[in-house]
Amino acid sequence: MTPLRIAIDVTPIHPGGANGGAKRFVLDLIEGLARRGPHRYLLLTAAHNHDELASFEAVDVERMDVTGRSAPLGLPDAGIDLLFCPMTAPTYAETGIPTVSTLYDLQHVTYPWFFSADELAHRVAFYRELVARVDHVVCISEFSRQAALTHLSLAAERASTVHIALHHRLAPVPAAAAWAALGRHTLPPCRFAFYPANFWPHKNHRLLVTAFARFCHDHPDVPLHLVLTGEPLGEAATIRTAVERMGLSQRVHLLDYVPDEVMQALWSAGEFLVFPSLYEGFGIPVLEALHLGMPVLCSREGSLPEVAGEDVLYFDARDPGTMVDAFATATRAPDALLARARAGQGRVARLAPDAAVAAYVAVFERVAGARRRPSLARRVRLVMIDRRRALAHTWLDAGRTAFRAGKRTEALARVSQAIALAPEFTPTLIAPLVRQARRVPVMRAWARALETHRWLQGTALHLDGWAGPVLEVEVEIEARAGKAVVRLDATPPPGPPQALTLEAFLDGAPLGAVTIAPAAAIRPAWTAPGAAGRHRLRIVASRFVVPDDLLRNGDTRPLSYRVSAITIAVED
Amino acid sequence: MKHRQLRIGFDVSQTAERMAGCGIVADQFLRHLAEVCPGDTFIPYPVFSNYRHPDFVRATRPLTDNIDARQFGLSWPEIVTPWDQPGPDFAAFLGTPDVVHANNYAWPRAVACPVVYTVYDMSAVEAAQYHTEHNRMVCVNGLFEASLGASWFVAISAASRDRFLHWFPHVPAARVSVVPLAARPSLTVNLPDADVDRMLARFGLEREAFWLAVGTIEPRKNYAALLEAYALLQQRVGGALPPLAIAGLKGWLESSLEPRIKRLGLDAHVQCLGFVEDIELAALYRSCLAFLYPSRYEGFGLPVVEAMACGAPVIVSRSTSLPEVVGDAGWVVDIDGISEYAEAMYTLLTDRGRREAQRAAARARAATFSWTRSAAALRDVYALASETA
Repeated sequence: MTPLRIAIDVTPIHPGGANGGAKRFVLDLIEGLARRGPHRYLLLTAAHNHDELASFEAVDVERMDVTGRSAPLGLPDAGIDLLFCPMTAPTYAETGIPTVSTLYDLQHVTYPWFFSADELAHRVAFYRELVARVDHVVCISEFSRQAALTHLSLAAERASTVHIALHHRLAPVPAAAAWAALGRHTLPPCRFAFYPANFWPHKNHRLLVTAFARFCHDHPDVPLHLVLTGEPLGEAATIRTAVERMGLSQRVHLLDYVPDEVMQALWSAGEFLVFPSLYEGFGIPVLEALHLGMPVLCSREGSLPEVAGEDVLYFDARDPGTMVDAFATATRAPDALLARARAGQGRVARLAPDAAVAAYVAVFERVAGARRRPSLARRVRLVMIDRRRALAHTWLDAGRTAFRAGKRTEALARVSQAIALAPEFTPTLIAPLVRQARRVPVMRAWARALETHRWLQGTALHLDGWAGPVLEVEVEIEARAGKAVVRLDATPPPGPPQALTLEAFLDGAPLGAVTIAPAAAIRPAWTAPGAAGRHRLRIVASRFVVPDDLLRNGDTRPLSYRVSAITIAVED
Repeated sequence: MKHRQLRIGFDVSQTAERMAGCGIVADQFLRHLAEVCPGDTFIPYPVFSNYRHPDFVRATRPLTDNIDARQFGLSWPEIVTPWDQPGPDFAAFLGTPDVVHANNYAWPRAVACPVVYTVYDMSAVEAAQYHTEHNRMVCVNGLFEASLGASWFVAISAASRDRFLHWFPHVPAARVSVVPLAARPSLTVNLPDADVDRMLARFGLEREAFWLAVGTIEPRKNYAALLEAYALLQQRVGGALPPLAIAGLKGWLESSLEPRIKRLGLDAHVQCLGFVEDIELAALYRSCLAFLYPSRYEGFGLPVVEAMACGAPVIVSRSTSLPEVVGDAGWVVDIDGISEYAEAMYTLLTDRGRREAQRAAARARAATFSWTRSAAALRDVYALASETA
């Protein structure tokens, strides 16, 4: 087939370890793709990583810094055949370009309480939009694929599983060199169990440390240490305190995010990997350990059995007693565990090194080759809102800059332009400006005008996502056939839960009323005759809350719910 | 002990809804503390840390002079926001307590004064299968953080204390006080026989002609073993076996009970009573052949001490706190000892003298537990904790 030109969106990749294991996987994959050919790749980069990714020029991969630009980038005109989003978000998806995303996990479905209400609403909307905007999803494990089929209602043929493969494997270093490197990093020579994981709640550091403390208590003669690496986040401070109180400061070592050479030394000098995670979409460290022939003590959650197979010692991540037993088994009979690790090493060594790259290429070729059926075009945009808001933000920022520079007349002009475009600007966005303006005689009238501006009327979708009792938005439907299903995804306002009735109209025609029970998720759906073109969607709510009444926060807007997403799916 | 007067902040967050477990304990502790300690001031917190009930004004609020009910007049945001964004006036919001007693597993990170933390049980750590994942994590996180930050711990049984110290051996054992529970006053009312018979008739039951089990129907309560034992006993004595009455709401995990009842052919013998009022429960305890409590995991086992206070012969499983609650005043059998269970039931069914002796022993045993004494013990704990600052 003719070589394809494929754009790869790497803008979400950040310096350091904030991306967890995904970063290494993505960079490895891109290099594998570039080396394999015959397709050509263009990296869409951002200012924070453009330079870090310069090394890809060595394998003939171009880069384009898209900082500050939003979709559409005009990819078809640039000769791009397909967009690949290895960090999931289809930020630069646009009409006419087939899009493939990698999906890691749906942790928010299993552990919604790990996320704030805002994050959760964002994730729910994000994955719904993902399904609407990409042609194919590549899942990093069958576990994640099944979750996507179940929870995202994704059709089976639009999702495939390609396990993560490691190309740049860590080369073990000799013990002496490893300990020299670790000594420089304050780790004394010792037998240690190793757990590399950012301090996220699902990584289960608390029960691990609890179990390790119990193990040390029960086996004072076994000089086992525990080494934890990873982005410390807030949780590491708690773990550090715990280690201190538990009297384990000499036995548990929190090294935070370590440079590659130290990581390599840890992998080489560690006695075994312990992996007590409560949720994994894949589990790269387990694969890493198998490659190195390092014994693994492992939880059974998520994708881990898929990766670890029969070659590890399992325990129950929710039962620290089984962790204590696993530590005891591993230290009492290290040879048996080592034999198992060797079997695992043999198994992963037999995997074709390039299989994952080949599988991705096959997906790209298949998706690029298939013509999109018009009725599958689920593309719906909140046209007016988006464009107007983007412009309004530009003017508002310009106004702030001018104000700070003391150019008050210019600031007045800029902010007035912003408000003309987006009357729904919230008090939190403009309050500081209003406060400053009050102190300046020539601007007092302007400040008053701002304070009493039209957002009080509550007919708009506010910039922070809140909607008043009457919400009016303009939507564009691209598809021609079928009926349209309008879905609203929203969170309730502050205060005790109450019932809410929502009535929808499309171009003035009633679509029906939906009553939401108190404390239930606000996810009504209405069916409308589908027709291409622009439509005015109006949603009327039976009640609203004025946050200031409850919270005394100066926010006097009448608010009914906070919108995470409004989508219109066109169905046959 | 002679104490200085204290201002004691007391978490009653779980008493705002229909009470179970933690809610009952907090409610009884505070009511009896208010009586036992007239010289101190108690500040009940109807919202505590992340535990927020929209109807928080219904939380326990004893009407004695030593209760500072300042928080009951607050609006929803006024009572919730300080926990989310504790500011410099957070101590004033709490009523400047000398010590705060946390009762709902959550660790109140923002509280600066000494905190006393109630350890109900360690099932979240060592018996996760009895919890929803969310509840398990709330409890594990609370216990973990409390083990690092609390000044003193109140365990509701020696078993809970021992399991807590097993998992958190860094906590000094001397700082974990065992303060047992007792029968609620609402269950120890003295009912005329005629009233008892009338209440039993409502359930279609007769005095000394039914077995009783109580509790939410969930796997932890091990009703499966109980049904097996009942079926075994039925084989032995034939169709004349008195029915098994189960009082309590349906729990959140059990769906296997009804099919099991059918499979064992016990449809006509097992009677689910649903939710019963305390006074009805007192009547049931008082007149059952025996109270059966085969639970696999308990922090204390409040129904057992309440049944004993009403004079019910009890058969319990040898798990966690139950042996220490029952002492030698009842049968303690193996958790999965179905035949052992059936054997104990057979003895009680056929030996009336034995049954009467058991009733007297149970009453005597229950009398050794007292909320008043436990409240006095709590007061000692507060004094010790307040000096740890």
